[in-house]
Amino acid sequence: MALTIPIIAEYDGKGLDKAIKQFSQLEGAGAKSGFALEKAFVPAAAALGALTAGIGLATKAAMADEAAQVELARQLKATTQATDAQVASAEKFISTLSRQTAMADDQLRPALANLVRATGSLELSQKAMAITADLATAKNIDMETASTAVAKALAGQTAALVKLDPSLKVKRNGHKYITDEIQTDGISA
Amino acid sequence: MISTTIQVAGVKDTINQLGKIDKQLQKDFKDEAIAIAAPAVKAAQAAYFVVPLSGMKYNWQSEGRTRKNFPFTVAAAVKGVRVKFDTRRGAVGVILIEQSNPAAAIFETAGRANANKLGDQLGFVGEGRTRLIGPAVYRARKGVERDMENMITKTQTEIQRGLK
Repeated sequence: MALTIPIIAEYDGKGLDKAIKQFSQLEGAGAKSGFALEKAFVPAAAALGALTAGIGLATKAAMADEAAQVELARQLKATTQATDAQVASAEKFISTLSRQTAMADDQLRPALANLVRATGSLELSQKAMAITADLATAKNIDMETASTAVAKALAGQTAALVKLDPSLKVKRNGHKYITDEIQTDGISA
Repeated sequence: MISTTIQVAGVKDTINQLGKIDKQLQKDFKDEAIAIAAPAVKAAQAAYFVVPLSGMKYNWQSEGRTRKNFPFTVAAAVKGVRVKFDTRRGAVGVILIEQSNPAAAIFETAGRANANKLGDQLGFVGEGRTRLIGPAVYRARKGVERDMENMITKTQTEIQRGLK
């Protein structure tokens, strides 16, 4: 007869593994819904303090998300001297735009950072984000590529934008088109 | 009963993988774990300093039983406390503190599942609880668990790095 007191126990990750499997199946059926579920899953995984390779993916996503938030905040503070309240407002804007456009926030943050670098203004960048989102959706490209093209167009270099949408060359000057659109269009936070 | 034992994912795999890579690595891991758990083991051993009931010092066995569990001696009870590793498939507790001396184990648990005369003589113990070893280990295990978790995590990282 012996008696035991556990000091370290095995973590039972069966439920977690099952959830990851189900989510990955949904990802195959519809990328967006799969992605949304994966994103929703991230905080739970982070809270569990992922220690295995099985949940390594979710941990990486959470870390990347946090790194992107820090990078955007740094960019806003460096370029526009944004206050903490403005940084929080930018995060709120990202969250709103994410829901409106069904794009992940980790795609939107680098795009906003690109535009902030180009315009030096958070307000203008937020307005330009709407056009960038339209461009990304219409041309089926990622937000970062679209934002780079829009940022260049805002600085007067329209070649990248015209390359993405040749119709802009015929219709009107790309730079003017973008700036006009920013004046009239935009998504508010 | 609420378990407050620290749960570490993949701890069994880690110990088993170490054995597959190199038996010496597994041995070193266990030695390190034993060294980390030493304060908890010592605390448990220190809990035994007297024979709980005078009759326990005699060489006897219960009527109808073939196994002789007594006498209870302090030295045997102290010696019976050790660190145990259980990496079997169904095992939940992986690194444990074990009381392997039968007399001491009986003293720890008598009457906790069903009330009996021996349990009444030894004093009340709640279901799933132990008289001395549990409280002693619980008091000492806070630092032990954290160090143990850190050591396991470090080993897991090294294994993953080595396998890449």
